[in-house]
Amino acid sequence: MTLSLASTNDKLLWLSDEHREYGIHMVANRGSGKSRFLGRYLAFADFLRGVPTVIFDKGSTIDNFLDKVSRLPPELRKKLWSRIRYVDLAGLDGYVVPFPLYYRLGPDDDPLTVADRFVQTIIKTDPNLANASVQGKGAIEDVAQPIGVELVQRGWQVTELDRLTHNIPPTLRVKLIPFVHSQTQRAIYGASTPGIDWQKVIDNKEIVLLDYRRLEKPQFAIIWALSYFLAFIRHRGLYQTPISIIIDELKAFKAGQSTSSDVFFDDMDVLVNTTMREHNLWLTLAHQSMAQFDDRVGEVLMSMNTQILGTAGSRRSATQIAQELTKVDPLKIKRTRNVYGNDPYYAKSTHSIPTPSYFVIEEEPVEFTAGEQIREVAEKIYELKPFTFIMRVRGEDEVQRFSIAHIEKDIYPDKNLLPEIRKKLMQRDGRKITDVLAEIAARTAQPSQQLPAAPSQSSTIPVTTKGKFKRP
Amino acid sequence: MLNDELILVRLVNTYEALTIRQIGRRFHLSENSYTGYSKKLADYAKPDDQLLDERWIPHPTSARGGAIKVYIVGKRGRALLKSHGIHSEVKRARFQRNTSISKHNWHAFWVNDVLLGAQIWADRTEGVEVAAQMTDFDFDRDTRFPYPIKWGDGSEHGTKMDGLLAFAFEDEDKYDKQFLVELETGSHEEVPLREKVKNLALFIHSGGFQRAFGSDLFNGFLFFAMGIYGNYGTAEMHRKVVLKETAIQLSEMGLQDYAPFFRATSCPPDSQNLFIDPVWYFPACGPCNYDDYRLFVDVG
Repeated sequence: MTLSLASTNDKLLWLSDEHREYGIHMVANRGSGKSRFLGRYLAFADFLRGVPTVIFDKGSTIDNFLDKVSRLPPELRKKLWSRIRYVDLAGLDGYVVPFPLYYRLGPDDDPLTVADRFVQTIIKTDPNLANASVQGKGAIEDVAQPIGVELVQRGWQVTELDRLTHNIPPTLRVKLIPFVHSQTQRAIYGASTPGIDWQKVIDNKEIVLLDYRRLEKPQFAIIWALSYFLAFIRHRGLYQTPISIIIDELKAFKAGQSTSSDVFFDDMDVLVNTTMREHNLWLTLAHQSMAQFDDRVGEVLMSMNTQILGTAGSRRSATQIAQELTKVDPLKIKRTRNVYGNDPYYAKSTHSIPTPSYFVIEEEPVEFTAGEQIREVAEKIYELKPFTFIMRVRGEDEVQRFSIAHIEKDIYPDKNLLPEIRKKLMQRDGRKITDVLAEIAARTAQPSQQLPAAPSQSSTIPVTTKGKFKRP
Repeated sequence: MLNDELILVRLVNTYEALTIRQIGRRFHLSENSYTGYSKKLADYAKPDDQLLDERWIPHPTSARGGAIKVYIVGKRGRALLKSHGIHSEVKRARFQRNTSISKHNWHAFWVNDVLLGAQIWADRTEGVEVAAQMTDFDFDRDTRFPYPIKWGDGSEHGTKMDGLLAFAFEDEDKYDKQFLVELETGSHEEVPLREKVKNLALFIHSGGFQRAFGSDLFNGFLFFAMGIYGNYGTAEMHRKVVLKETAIQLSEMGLQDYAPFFRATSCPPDSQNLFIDPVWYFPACGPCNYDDYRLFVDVG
């Protein structure tokens, strides 16, 4: 079955499943209708078809999707809500969906593998650690890996690291601060079991909406959630049934402010060129401008099979895209030019000085240069109106233009209703922070006769003098 | 009572070996009835009974004479324990070969005195019980010990405690207590004593306590300064030296904050005053001063 897209001249454009397997790259500036397209059409279509779908978004795509569902007839809406999982990554109204830092994908999961996932993620979110010789990657791994193994074997989480060792490098200690001092973060990352079971998502054909709009610094949260998803995908095995994953605002995944990041490039390269194809992910990566990434990442993104472009923020961005899209035709004629010949010996009379007589021999074509062709396409991209997009599918000559402007015209996400919907979904799918914290406290209570209940009396001394043993 | 053979055997089995007076103390028997109960114990150790076995240990300080009888679980005693399904409590038999045992075992017997004294005090005191204990023999047997300790220079050392003692209080407002016992006979000179303090401090500092015992409730090390060997003169002088060396060592390590975890007494190991009187002192560094404290008072 194919995804149909409306066109400006009412012809249907098709995006086949085969094309989805090779990914969609979407670049469109704010206000172009990117989130509307992703939420109301792409994600909704996948969801209706029963393709398990995951969306990472800062708000607009998710809101468009939820709004579309909320406007369906009640009997249909009722059936579909049960297949929608909403996750506010910052927690909402006293509820969280846990993403514990230590999780097992199967009973044979090696404790070191389990413990190392968190370590590698914090190194990924702070690439400078890889180069720091004293307090960097080596120092963190030296503590977090062996102690992590012990924590995993006890069924504890990294939030209990300081119970087993005092020698925590400052660079690691800083990373643990949110999990220690924020009850919400502790509940999200210190819970015993994840709140999302990806296998159930697949079995029940669900859509998971991962919303990071309320996180001031979302990098760790979204990178962690994505890594959990990808770890499951790899664990699941090769060439399974498709899963659609839509990442809006891809820039949020790039750690640091610099446009250049080796780690990010490596991740994108593996995701697009290996994971997507081997594990049948229908990957859609969307962002606002090519200037957000360096050339290497840009190259990976432009290598995706389907390119969808909306309004560009600048001519430079439009030109960058056009360079990739434009199929230069060396024989494309811009205009013709007269070729003149002359007869130098022509003279009206013997008293006239002979003057050359020019006449047109032929007309020769003047082709567009490559630069001009690219500039032409760039102008078209730059002048795209909102809700109008250009799409190019690799292997097809024609660059197609389509618009969603007239579909669901003047219907926009209901700003009054949607917060209520999100809140109710979190209450249905999440867990109370107080319950998770109680679970954490009970987990760290020792099973036999020795059990302290109170926290350490000093932040530097790893034991406490205040506690009660567990009574039989 | 002594007539209850199972209770008697379980008691001796717990402590591996007990002197006559220790058994008498535990059963709250008066010193005046020593002759009576010592005869009873001797009957249990006869070849036709073998509930218990006898061994002899030289006096800790006298060169000649003064050997003291100790009792271990006999053949019938082990069978009795197993017949009651108490397999897990039956320990690997110690002191099986010779009729006399080394004088060095007095160290373990004195630790037993501390633990027995705690049990006796808990029996007499409402609302408290001994929640956990480990003898010196238990630590010898435990494969986790000596616990590896790495110093800052990379050298590897090990530490082993002499005993563990934990109290549980019924009163919800009272915290439970857990201690590790260190019995100092005086045979350690200052340098080995400081090394011991260093290893113990690092044991706590590195989270070794949690890993070894699965708990982070710890109220400190109980140093018993006996002053029996060496040139200390009296137990009190020995205690002062222990505290001084501990303060020096912790200061050198920059771990003055750990001073509240090191308390010392010169009170005898079998004294009930250990649990009720202010006979405990801390090294004078960090948050601690020269005052005397009761056992269940934490400083800092």
